[in-house]
Amino acid sequence: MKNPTLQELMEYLDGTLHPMRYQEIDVMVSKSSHLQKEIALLKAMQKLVRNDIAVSPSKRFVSNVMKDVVPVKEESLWLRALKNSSNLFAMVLVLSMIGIVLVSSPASSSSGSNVLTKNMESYSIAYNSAIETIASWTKQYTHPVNQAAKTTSGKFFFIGLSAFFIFIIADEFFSKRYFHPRIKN
Amino acid sequence: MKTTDNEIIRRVIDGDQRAYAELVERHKDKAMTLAMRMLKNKSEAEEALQDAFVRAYKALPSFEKKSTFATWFYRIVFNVCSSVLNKRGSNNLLSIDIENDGELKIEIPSEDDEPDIELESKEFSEIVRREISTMEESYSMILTMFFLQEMSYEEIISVTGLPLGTVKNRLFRARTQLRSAVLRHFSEMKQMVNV
Repeated sequence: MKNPTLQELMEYLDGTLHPMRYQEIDVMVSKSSHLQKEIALLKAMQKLVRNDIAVSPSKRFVSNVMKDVVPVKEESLWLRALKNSSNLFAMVLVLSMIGIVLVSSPASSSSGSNVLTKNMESYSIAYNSAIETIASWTKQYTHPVNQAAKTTSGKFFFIGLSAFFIFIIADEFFSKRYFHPRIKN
Repeated sequence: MKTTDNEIIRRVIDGDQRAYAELVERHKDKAMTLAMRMLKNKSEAEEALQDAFVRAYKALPSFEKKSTFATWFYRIVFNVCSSVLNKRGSNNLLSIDIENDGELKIEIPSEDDEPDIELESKEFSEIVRREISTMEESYSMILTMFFLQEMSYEEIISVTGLPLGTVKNRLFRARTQLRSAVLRHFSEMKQMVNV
């Protein structure tokens, strides 16, 4: 039996050697520690190439590909608002909070009317009466809140709450997630 | 049970475009390694791979399932990377080796010359990694296809269009180069210790 060449040893490892020669080399390898070391070295190199030396693309790779593959349709502001009615609710809540703070400010108590309508004399009568009606309803139905809003800490509380809701609305409307679809990896 | 590539392809063709993300996720790492071995530059490799995935998506309805999706897709990656190398003017991937059919007889060195190699050491991994990163593209590409992608000779031929002799020859040379680098390093270490 002639000694195996390096190429034969590699083919022996790959299992691509002719069956007869494979048997011969198998016997030689089992008897020679030198050949066993050579096989171990080749196997270790293969293992490294197979398992360790892999390169990954960047984290956003899949979403970048999907952006090219599936064109993203940008939805209109109103459609997004309708889809997220909680936003509308938050917006109404914010406006109400601001209204309460303004309406219940001490300056307005002496006039009997409210600050909003005071500065709107030049506007039409219909507009003034509408504001007055809203203000009076607000006063009537939000009396405990109204009282709380008259105190300094109450005002801070409502302003803080308003800021919080404004943040939520801004986040909902302008966040990028509406423009870029989420891809489950 | 894991969904097969062909099932995902069916879903994509039927209109579920988002299912393609699963296919990209599944093949991106191995394909990236192939692109990286060919182009030797990470940003270029990633760009080429993205291009290859977009091309594959567009060509998906024409995929005839004669081969696996992986083999078909690697062919696209190979072609895109070849174009990049052509633009660079350094494409030697498809040059056919002169001695492609001759058996390369390299004898195994005698036991006396044999250095002690710690196969599990970090040093060993480092040498192999470094050698692959500096290896000629045409060799490292075949090495990656054969070991990492676990492609058969026939699949490599189908992807690259190279003759069997050239594929075998390059694979042998790539492995010999790795082996020589390891032996050289550890022999030097042995000599240093003996001095």
